[in-house]
Amino acid sequence: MDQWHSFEHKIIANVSSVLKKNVEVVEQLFADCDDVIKKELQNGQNKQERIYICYIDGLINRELLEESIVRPFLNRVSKGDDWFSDFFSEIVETVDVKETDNMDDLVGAILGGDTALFAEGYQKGLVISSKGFPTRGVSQTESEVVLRGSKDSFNENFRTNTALIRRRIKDTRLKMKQTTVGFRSRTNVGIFYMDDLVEPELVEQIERQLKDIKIDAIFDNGMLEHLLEQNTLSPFPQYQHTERPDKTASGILEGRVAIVVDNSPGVLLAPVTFHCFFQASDDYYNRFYVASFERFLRYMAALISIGLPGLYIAVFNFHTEVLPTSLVLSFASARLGVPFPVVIELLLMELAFEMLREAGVRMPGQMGNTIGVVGGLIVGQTAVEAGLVSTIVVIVVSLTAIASFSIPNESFTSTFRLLKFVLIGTCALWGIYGFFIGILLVLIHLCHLESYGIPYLMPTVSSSVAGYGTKKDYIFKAPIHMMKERPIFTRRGARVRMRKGEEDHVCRK
Amino acid sequence: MFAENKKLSLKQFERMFLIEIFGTFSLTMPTLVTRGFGYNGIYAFLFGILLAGIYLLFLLGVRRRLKGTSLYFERSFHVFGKRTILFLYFIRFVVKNAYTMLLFVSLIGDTILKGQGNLRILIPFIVICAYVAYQGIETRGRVLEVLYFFIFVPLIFVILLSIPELSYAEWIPKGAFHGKEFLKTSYIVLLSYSPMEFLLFESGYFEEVERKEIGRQEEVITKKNTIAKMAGKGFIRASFFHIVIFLVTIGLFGVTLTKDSLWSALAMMETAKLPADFISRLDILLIAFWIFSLFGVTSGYSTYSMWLLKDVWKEKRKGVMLAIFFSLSGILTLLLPDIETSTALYFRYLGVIDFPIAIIIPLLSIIFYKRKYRERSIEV
Repeated sequence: MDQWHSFEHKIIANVSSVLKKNVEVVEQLFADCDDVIKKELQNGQNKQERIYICYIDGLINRELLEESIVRPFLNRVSKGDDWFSDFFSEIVETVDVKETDNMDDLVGAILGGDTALFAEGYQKGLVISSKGFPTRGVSQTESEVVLRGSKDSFNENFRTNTALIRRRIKDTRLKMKQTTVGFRSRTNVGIFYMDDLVEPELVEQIERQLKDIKIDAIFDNGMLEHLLEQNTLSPFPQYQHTERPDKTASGILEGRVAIVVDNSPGVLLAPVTFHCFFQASDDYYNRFYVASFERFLRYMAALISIGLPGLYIAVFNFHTEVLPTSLVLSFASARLGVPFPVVIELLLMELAFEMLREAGVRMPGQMGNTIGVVGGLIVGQTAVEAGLVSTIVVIVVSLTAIASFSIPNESFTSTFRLLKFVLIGTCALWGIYGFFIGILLVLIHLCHLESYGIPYLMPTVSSSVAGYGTKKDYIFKAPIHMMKERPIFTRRGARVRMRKGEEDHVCRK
Repeated sequence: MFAENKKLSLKQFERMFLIEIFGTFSLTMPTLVTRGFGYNGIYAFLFGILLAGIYLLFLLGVRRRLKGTSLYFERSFHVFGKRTILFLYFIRFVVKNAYTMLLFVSLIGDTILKGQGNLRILIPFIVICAYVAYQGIETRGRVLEVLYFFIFVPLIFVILLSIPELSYAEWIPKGAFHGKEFLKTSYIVLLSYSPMEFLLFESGYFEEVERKEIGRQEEVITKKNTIAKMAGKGFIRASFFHIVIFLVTIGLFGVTLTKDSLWSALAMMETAKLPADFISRLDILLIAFWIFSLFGVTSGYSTYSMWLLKDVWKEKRKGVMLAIFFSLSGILTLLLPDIETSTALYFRYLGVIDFPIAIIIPLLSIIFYKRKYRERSIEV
């Protein structure tokens, strides 16, 4: 720790009414920071009127600063002793200005892209909102693509993300509490919730958890997610990550909390259940038959992605009598000449696919597509022709891969990709008995998981908690006009979200 | 913050109860009954179910008088008495668990994994049972709530597929009626319902209320005897399935063939064929589903043993308790003779030792509790 920082990494200097002292503090704090601009300005008419501004070049909108503060100050006609109050009320032409006597806040503002202003004879400083750093514009979502529905997605700018949510919920009861996490990164973290829909203890608990995080920096909401989650060893995500503002707004209106993290092009939603990860945004924009069918397909895809390779090994190695004779002969002839046992063959192909997938993600742009074509077509085809693997295994691996990509949430997909290796192992050892042992292990783990008190597998389990139509948005989705109640996340007494008729167009008793 | 049930919901209890009753002997019941009473087995079966119903009423009565905690006898005995009873329960559960695991290992070893050693089959089963016991009763309740579908839906499916093959003539009772065999077989049926005593240990884990939300108001309705209704429903369903499996088995194979093997009911699944013969051997998948029901019972023995001892001996380390439990029952499983001999021994043990204890302890608990309560009233 140095002389300016406490054990909690906060600035311990005070704001002084003597400008020179403030200048000394700032100069020392930002020594060897050549991108930090520090400028002392003096009014032409009255040399007693002096201000000192400090900002980081590249983070602020300099035109705003010059038009709203610098030029008006320099051209100001001095009026009297209490010059600063006059200056503040008449000259400072920007709306977003805060006074503070806390040096840590002022320094934090500078580091966050605002401008700090100190004045001679004044014991407070001003934080002038002047952010103007370069950001990526609002673009299309990359991982949660939908055919129907909005295409905008969150980006790295905290304020853009909060604005995207505000655009969709124009209600004064939408609250946003902001804090920072990370001693050195001071990453802005915002908690969005509906005041009358959320469980109050949920917000309090999340705030407490954020306050308890003692870390130097977080760079993405992924890091925050792992710091907040209760079951750190679980492969299943305990927060839902989304890039979509509409999904976020929908979650907030169900009584969930959205956690927005600066520099993260996504938002975390909590609490979460297993079934949330199978819901796509366009389920609510398409007709319910289509949505139900697609959702059912996703559940089937999840089963296939975790179980098909293991089941193949179990049937082929231990229980060939399960299949009709013609199919068994077909499989056997496909494997003629393959030197490896089924397990090794399958593991080789699965690992090869995982490496191809990883390479495709890391390679930029068009080269990633090329890798996919090269790997899938050429390597796979030639491996079969060389007799290293059979066509059946290629089909199994391909189907598994396609199934895993059908799941809307990427972090969830990764979990299934990992768990399939566990099932491959148990099936290799114990056949179909091992398959069911593996499924039971996963099931027990899922039944044990909870997200802020809600069972992870709800409404598959514990659905008799006063029912609230929680199964209307389950494996099959009911039409919107039947989904009159919010799910279990919402506070008691606030579950009705739609009423019929003219009696009350606002959902109130 | 969100959970409205204390630990288990009523629906979870009903499903747990059903699986616990149904799990162990559903497969072997047709064989046991036909061996005991031949063509008149249905009479013994029905009478046995009647006796089991009376036993259920007894358990519900004990629960009503002594409810409130997971140790129903807690307030009836002093420390030494309590620990003795807990030790008895622990030993009983070890023995019963050992037999259930032997049943499981024999089933898997005779059907799916022929030629594999018992230990190789046993170890993963112990791991998953220990895992669910370690996670606690609420997790177990949720697991069984899910497994309910996977146990009964395939069973119903197979039964429906078997209907065209049934011979109804085999259902008609015939032959001499021997009272002694009748009572003995009925008693065996009653003993097969012995897992119902788990009911006594589940008392402390839920509340008998129903919550309804009307607009912004929440109404809490206290329902009396809801556990009794749920237990009754579970009992009736389990008995219904037992009877159906019995009738289908003897309808397919006749009484003589049913007596032949302990897994006669499994053979029922071999006769069921899917349209287009998509899967040749359906019984393999269904045997695998049967894993779930035996898992349900075994996890019950391990869960309650662990939680009972943990509470009383103040042993914070659940793992230690589970390790002791499964070591003892695992060793016993491996030492037991073949399944036929073990089944005969097991029913003898149940009939002479275990079941009487299961009646005596609750009775003594009620007597001592009433005496204590009377003494306290006098003091006041």
